[in-house]
Amino acid sequence: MSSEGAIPSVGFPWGTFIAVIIIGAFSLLSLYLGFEAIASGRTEDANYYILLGSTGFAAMGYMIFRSRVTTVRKPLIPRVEVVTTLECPKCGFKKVRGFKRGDYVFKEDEPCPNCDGVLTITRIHRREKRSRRW
Amino acid sequence: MVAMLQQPSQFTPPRSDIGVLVQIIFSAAFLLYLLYAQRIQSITMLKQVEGTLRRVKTLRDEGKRISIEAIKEIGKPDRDPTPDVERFLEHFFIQPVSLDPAGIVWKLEQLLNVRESKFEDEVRAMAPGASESELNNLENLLEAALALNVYYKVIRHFYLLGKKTMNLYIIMQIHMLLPLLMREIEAYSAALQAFREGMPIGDGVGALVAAKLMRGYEKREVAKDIVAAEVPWEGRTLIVLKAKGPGGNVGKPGDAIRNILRERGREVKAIITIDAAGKLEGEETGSVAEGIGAAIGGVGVEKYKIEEAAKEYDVPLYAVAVKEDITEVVAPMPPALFDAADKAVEAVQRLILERTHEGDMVIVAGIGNTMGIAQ
Ligand SMILES: [Zn+2]
Repeated sequence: MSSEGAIPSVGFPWGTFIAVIIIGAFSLLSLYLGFEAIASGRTEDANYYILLGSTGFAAMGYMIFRSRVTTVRKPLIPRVEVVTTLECPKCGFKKVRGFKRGDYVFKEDEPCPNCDGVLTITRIHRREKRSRRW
Repeated sequence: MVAMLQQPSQFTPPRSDIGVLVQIIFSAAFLLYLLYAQRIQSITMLKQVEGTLRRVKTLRDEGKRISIEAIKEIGKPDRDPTPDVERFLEHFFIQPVSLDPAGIVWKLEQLLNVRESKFEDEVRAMAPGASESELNNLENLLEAALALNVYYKVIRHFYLLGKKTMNLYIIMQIHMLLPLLMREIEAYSAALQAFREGMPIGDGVGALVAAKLMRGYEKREVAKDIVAAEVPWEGRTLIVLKAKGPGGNVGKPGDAIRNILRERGREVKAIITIDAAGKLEGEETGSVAEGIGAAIGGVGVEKYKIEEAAKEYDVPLYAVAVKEDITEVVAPMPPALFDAADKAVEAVQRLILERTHEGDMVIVAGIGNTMGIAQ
């Protein structure tokens, strides 16, 4: 399993960080030059610098967003809630409880609290969740 | 610079030095992108593959941990099962050569039988305290962990190969497949919970339909891990069969159908197979569809046997499919699928009324993993 070291470990994204700092500095400088150009009445220059500056900021935002997505998304083992439905074939008594290991469909599980019948497992499935439907 | 900041309005040359510098840098960036776009794309893709790989590794490790935990808990072994589980997860299967394909099904079957009995023995040795159905469930659990391990190793192979060669096309291959692979991987990781606890899974819907039809009638074993019951219904005799539950089992339905046909010969007027089928995006989970042919998945050995036997005795093959998503096949059964079993029972009954006459004999085979479903 020594080859597993070949996958770089998750750490602070230094590459992105440095790139963001450099782009940020140049974008700030561009914006400064842009506003200065407005102040001195050079509209064309001003438009050019402000466009450059804001593009830089947009790129920066995108980079931060991207690195955030990869670091925030945690690996998850899906764990769902499973319920068992028991029914009495004699009196129709019905009970729903959480799944227990050893449950199976059509298992005669426990005595009925209402009559002398035996509760039988009729359904085992994930808990109902009505999500969006197409 | 300080003077510049203090009185910006006086700093008014036509184009400042800094302005030129900024322009050069941005033009350079543009040029760099123009020339190295492919390399940048490779690096970005590789980064994404790396993120997924890390996730798959966690899932793989989790699969191993859950397997070891379950074996310790259920199997009560007298020694640590970790090295045995690690050895099991590296198990491989060599497909028979297909240069001369005649007879390959029987070769494949023989290899699969050996694999199955070896796995059974290994799991039994690892978990001496487990009951027969618990052994079946543990075996399923270990196979899910093994599948996760294989996915992890294949993705890692392409990632490392891509990194070594920096070849866009090698990286693209794995990058393109990742979304589809991830769905399969997520399905297997959802299976870990179901297999450890012995819950009914999406694939069990065929077995559930058969269980509903044969409930209360006398059962006998007609092939390895397949039980059958004769059920009189509307003047017909239904021979209903399913894998033997409630342990995780698929049995050998092909052998069962062949054995019944040999026994009953041309009395049998129809064979109906019921199985879960992968749905297309947009189709609803639990919708029931009817068709012609043998509804059975897997490598094809059992399907081949069913088709051969049906041809030999000239019995029509009808199929009922219950649609489900690939992520639901081995995950704990969703309620919509459980309800679909009743709809499938109705579909089977309608099919029998339409296609057979009173006095006929019909084989109804519920295909699928019967984990958590008795009969
Ligand atoms: Zn009762």
